[in-house]
Amino acid sequence: MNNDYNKPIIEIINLGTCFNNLWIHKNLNLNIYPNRITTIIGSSGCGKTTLIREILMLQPITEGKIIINGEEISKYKVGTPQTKLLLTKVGMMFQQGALFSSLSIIENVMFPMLEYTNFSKKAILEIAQMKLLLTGLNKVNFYKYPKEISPGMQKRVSLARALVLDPKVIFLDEPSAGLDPNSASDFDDLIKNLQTELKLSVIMITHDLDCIWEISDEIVYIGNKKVLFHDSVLKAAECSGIPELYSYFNGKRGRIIKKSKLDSMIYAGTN
Amino acid sequence: MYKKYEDISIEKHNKSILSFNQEQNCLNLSGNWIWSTIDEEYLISFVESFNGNNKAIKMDGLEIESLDSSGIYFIYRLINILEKKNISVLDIKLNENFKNLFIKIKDSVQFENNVVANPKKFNFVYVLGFSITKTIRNIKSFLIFFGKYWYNFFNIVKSPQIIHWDEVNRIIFDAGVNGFFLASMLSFLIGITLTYQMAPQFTTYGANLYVVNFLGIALLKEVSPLLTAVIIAGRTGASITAEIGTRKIQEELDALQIMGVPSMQIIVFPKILGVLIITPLVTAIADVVSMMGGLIISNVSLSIPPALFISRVKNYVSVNNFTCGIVKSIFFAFIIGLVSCYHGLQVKGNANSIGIETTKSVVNSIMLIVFIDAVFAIIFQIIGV
Repeated sequence: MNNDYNKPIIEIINLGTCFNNLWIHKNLNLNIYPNRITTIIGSSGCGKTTLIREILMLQPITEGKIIINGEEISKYKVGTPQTKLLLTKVGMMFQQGALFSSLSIIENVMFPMLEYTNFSKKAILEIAQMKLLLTGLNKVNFYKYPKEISPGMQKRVSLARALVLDPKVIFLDEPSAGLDPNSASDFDDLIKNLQTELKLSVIMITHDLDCIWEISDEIVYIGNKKVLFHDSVLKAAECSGIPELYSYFNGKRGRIIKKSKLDSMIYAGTN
Repeated sequence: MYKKYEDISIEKHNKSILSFNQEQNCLNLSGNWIWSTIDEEYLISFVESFNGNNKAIKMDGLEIESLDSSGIYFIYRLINILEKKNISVLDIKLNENFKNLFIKIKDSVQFENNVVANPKKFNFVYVLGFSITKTIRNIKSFLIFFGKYWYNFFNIVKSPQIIHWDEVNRIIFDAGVNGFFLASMLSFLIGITLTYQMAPQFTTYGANLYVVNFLGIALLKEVSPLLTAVIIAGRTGASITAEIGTRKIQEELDALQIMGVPSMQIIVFPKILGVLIITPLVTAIADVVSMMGGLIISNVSLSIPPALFISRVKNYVSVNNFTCGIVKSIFFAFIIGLVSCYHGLQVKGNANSIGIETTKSVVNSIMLIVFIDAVFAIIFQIIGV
């Protein structure tokens, strides 16, 4: 995959999605660039997850084109060798982890390698262990089953599994949902570190404003069936042209307000 | 390297290559070191057959075109193999792009003794002991459930207005209205098959008319109650277990608990009562339908006219056969209700557990039904009905 910073790694051109005469996306255009964390935000039900599922070929599109790294994926049929190979170059961490409940944790991480490579089992085991240690999982848990570990750990394992074939693009669906603030901030750090070390392009869906402020490089705001805004986080917070986006960052639950409230409280306290 | 799809690889890359430069005492790494191009056998055999005269060599990876974490793992593994052969690697030259990741990953790459082995290996004694203790525990918890049932039973008998009749009706509808067609169809077929199989035997001895006596005992006393019970266990029993299990996972039972309403009253009783009411009725229908099957085939293969068949049934088949079958079916119904509710309440945590418990519920119900049937055979023999 290319590492050119300004050449888009994923291009979406005039995408349209229609379910039962209801258009979810219409004329959606989006370019996603490598080596940065792009966050997709928008109100619930605006089609963020649908967009990611379409990029990953989990869902058919009605019209338009999706191009990953120069390959137009929408022309391939799902399940063909071409799409399989293309999918080894992207990783996905699902919202609930989506770990295979019948396999132990290390087997979950070994699974893609067993499926795609002809390495010896010893090598695959050691690579899987390496990935799990990189995502900060304790060795004690390696042979436990997904139901025996906490949700935070499940997300780490899911991330390790997504990373095992060294994809350059990785999709995260609500990485910090359902985690306590400490685990969530640890997980944010993990994503940021892995992104810089492995030079990943991360595409993330989240509603967590702290997470957005902490690690996100770019914001994509989806509303009215298309991309309304695509720029840096600071510009998104100051964008007053789009009322919904403005209230997203500056509303009652927006972080800017919270922070200024906190500042004023500190100010009042010192006086 | 790719296991499959080698020929249709989208991006064709050069393989990973190793070569040794004698003059510079340097192991050169070149090509692509990513998971799709690494040939493990080649790398390992190259290093294992490597016979440098020197005890220390250098490594040059400046010509590596691309490197991912699997590639880094293999570089560390090669160094590990060399070190085992007492050849130390002095210096590794790498492109700046790869150097940082190479150093970062170092701690995570571990070999041999540091790799965690599966602690849960198959151990016969462990498995045997585990299954025995598990069985004992299961029996114990079933007995506790049984005790609780009777404890609550007397409470409910004292004030029967707390029974939820909607739930009872639902079970009756499910097992009776939806299930009786299946039960009667199968009984009809069994009646036909049984008569058809026995017909030549009876003809041989010229005892054609005795087929009625035979069918009276076999169908009314044994086959119809058993078959109906098995069908109800498979249909209604399984659905009861799955339903209670789902409700348990959704914490509905805990919600009942904190309202101070025993789950026995709301969940268990109506279901057992429903099954208790409907099973004897379906059995009675199955009795009639299976005898009709026998009547038709007797007419066809043994040339017994229907009127004669019916009068033989009236005169020679004791009503005890029918009563015995109905009495048994009541006990079968009780077992189905109890076992399926018990297994529904045993569901824990995840969705997997519902499938496991539903299977157990059907298997255990059928097993107990056949067991109780054998016990009844002895009892009926002793009291002479």
